[in-house]
Amino acid sequence: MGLALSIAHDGYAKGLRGEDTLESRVAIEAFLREVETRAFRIALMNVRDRDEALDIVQDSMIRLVRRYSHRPSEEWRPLFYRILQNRIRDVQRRRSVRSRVLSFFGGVESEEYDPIVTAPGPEGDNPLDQVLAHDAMRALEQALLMLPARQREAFTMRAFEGLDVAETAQAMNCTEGSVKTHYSRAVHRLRELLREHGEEHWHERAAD
Amino acid sequence: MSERQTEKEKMTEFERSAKRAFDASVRELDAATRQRLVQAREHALEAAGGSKLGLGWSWSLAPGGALAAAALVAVLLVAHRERPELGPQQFGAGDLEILLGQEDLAMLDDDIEFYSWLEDQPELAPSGANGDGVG
Repeated sequence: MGLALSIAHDGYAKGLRGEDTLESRVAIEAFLREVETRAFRIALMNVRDRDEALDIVQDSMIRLVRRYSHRPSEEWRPLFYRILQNRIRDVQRRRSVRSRVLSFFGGVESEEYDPIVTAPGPEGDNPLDQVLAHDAMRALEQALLMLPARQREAFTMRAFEGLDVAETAQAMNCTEGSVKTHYSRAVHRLRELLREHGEEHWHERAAD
Repeated sequence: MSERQTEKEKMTEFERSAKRAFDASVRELDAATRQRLVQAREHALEAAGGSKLGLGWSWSLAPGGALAAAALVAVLLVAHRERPELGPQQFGAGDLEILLGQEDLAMLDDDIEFYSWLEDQPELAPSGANGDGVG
């Protein structure tokens, strides 16, 4: 960011801070407390690295508080998830570049960052592993990682976070029609993927 | 709220199961992770009161991370000078910016409000303010 832009940013931030009140600070802290574990879980699902997921959540919190704490509290949720998804995308993009740099030095064939490849595999062949309670989420995560990013985002925000169509559209910076399309395709594809991988009884496990 | 409740009622059994599985995975987060999230929240609230962007602690970067990235870019530039045929195809300027940058590219999309405000500051607004894909 250039110097002029930095100065402008500080001026803008100071303007925002002038409007801060104790009440708004308490309110936004309560909001962050409410979303932090869920946001972390979403970030972890996407980047598969605990420390990076923590950084993503923290950065997203900073952005929300600095830029949007003065906005009506009902806008915080879609704004926060928009920031979170952008941050996740940045980390994935940075990994992709790092991978190409490493291949430049090491002579390894360059590959784009692929969440499927980096996702951990099943813990073991023991059928008992398959009935562990959290296995339902593991299966769902593996399937989610096979979706295009926009479908994954729509599903995450609608199904996991309960954002309505309008809020999801705001968070994804697209139209409500696009949200409906991405979401419907995501649900359809997820069901297919879980079925293809012998997850006919997935519902039952998820209900445990 | 009632609209959200109505939407919940419309969810299929598959969607409800997905939500239950996700909620359970959130509940299973260990105490250490929860503690770090509390710290992240505190850092975020402190940083937001400061004068610089992004003052939070980074768990994923070692203290020398930025220097290491700068050194890597320098080596890349030297390598490119010696073997120019490898450069442009392998790395664009955008890639080097990503390696070095403190500011993330997609994050610029979050700053809609800031850029709207900037447009109202004629003495500060750079001519290419819209070149980042915002607005």
